[in-house]
Order: sequence, then structure tokens, then C-alpha cells
Amino acid sequence: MTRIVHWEDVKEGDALPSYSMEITTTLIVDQVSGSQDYNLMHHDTAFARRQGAPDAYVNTGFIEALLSRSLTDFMGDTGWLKKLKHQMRRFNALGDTIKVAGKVTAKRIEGGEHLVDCEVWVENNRDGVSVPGTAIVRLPSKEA
Amino acid sequence: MYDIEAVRREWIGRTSSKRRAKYPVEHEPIRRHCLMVGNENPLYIEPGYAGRTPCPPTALWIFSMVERLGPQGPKLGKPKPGDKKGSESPFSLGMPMIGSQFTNMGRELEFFLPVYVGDHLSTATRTADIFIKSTRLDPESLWIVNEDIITNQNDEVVCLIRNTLMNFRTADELKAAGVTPQ
Repeated sequence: MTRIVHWEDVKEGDALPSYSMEITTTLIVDQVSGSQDYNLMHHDTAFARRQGAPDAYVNTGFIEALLSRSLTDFMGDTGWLKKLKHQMRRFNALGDTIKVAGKVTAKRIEGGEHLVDCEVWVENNRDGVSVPGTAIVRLPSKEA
Repeated sequence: MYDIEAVRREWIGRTSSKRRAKYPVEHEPIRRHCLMVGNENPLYIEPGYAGRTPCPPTALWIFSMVERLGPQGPKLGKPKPGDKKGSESPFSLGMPMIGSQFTNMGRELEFFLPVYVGDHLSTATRTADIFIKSTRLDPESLWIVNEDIITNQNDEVVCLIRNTLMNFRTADELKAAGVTPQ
């Protein structure tokens, strides 16, 4: 059954779906498999530590997939992710517990599109917000 | 001595040729992409849920990583003997680097059209900016901003990715250069 979220049913301040997970060795393996990013800092503890990281840390593809999970779950089957912007400010490393979260910051109609501005982020138990970001989502309108 | 001004003059604005990915968008890499973050959205992992299975927006780059995904699998991070300096990075377009290490600092992604299983993507990469900015890892970290223009089999732009990559030196490389990390 198609899940539709209408623009009119969303309001400023609404929370986006949030998920937490521990970065385990199994998750690190899933990350390499799911991103096809075999760079050593993302799975080799000794290499990552020589780089100055606390341990092997998850890559950009993983972080984006996490942010995307929250956004696409929020917008339903017929929403459209127009833009996603994020900064990798802190490491999210093996042993950390991370959480993805977000909220609606504004709603607007622009060029006939019903848009929702969102703040999204990933945080961890060591550094707090490690990846701040923003997104713009287009939702269907009940008026259409 | 790294001549940043010469590198900027030579490389900013340079655009690669458009490169077609080896493989089309497929179900199985999408499943693994979703699995790594616990994404069980049927839109992406249940063939038949929608008329055509869309590619999750943030999985597009997997199907456009043309340099790293070939028949023998992804290119590993370690340079091989005889590799030209910098050639190990799919992001650098061969420009000279300061150090041997890379990390990604962030991205901006803009999506224009849906991509479905069976579509076939191509990518052209343009170097938008190069500059040196001090970080705690290296006082002369090299920042490279690239723009990937991803198109489908109909030559329509489906996505733009603006990627900021940082190149920096290891502790041993800093020591050899007589530089003290901050």
C-alpha cells in the first residue's frame, strides 16, 4: 500500500524519524559492503589511528544513507528529496553509539512546489553532533 | 614545496570526460546499501512494491563510481607499486597532493530525476576549488572541491554532487617535512 505524506499534514517543529545504532565490527563490515568503499580508514583500526582518528570510522556513504533513511521514511513513497547537504565534522568510530535525527524547520511553496526545509544530523556519545546537515523535501499537496 | 597557486591555475575548472559506469543500477547493491543502515523501506528492497524499483537517492554514487568498480571489484585504498602519486584517489583527477591521506569533509547533493533499477549512469567530474586550510591533522591540509555531474542513459542530469575532500599528511610525513601538528 502506497504511503503518502501530504505537505498540509506536516508542521514546523515536527520531528523526523530517529534511529540509533552502535558501530560494531559487524556494522563496519556492512558499511564496506553497502558503500563499496574499501578505504582502510573505514575498517582498519591501526590505519585509522595513524590518521588521527579514535578508531576505524564510518564513511560518507554510510552517513548519507543514514540521513536518507530518516528523510525518505519521513516523506513517504511519493515525496522527493531535492537537496541534502552535510558536513563531516567529527569521526563516528567503532565503539560509538550514533543517532540520526532531524526536524522540520520551515514550509514554503516555491515555483509551484510544496517544500519542507529540514535540519538533520548525526550525533554520537563522544562528541555530540558529529554531522550537521540540512535538506529540502518536496511533498504532494492535497490541493493538487 | 607545494605550489598551491600553480595547482589552482592548472586544475580549477578542469572537467573529466563523461565516463559510463561499468554496470547498470541493480537490486542487490541497493539491498546492501539499505541493510547497512537498517533501512527496510519496501520501496527500495521489495521488487514489485512499486511499478519500478527506485534507487535510494544516496545510493546513486555507488552506481557512478566508475573508476573503482570494475570486473575485479573496487579499487583498494592502498596505492600499488608504480602508481602515479595521487592516482589512487578517484577524486583527485591526478592533481598533485600534499600528503598520502584523504578524508571526506562533506557533500551537497541535488536530485533532479528519479533513477530506477536498470538505468545506466555516467559521471563527469569538475574541479571547482582547491585551497589550503589548517586543520588539527595537518597545518597545511589540502582541500579539494569537486562536482560530479551524474546523467542517465538518456543524457539527462539526474544528480549533482559537490564533494569536499581533504588531503593531509601522516605523522611520519609531517615529521619528515619538519612540521609540528597543532
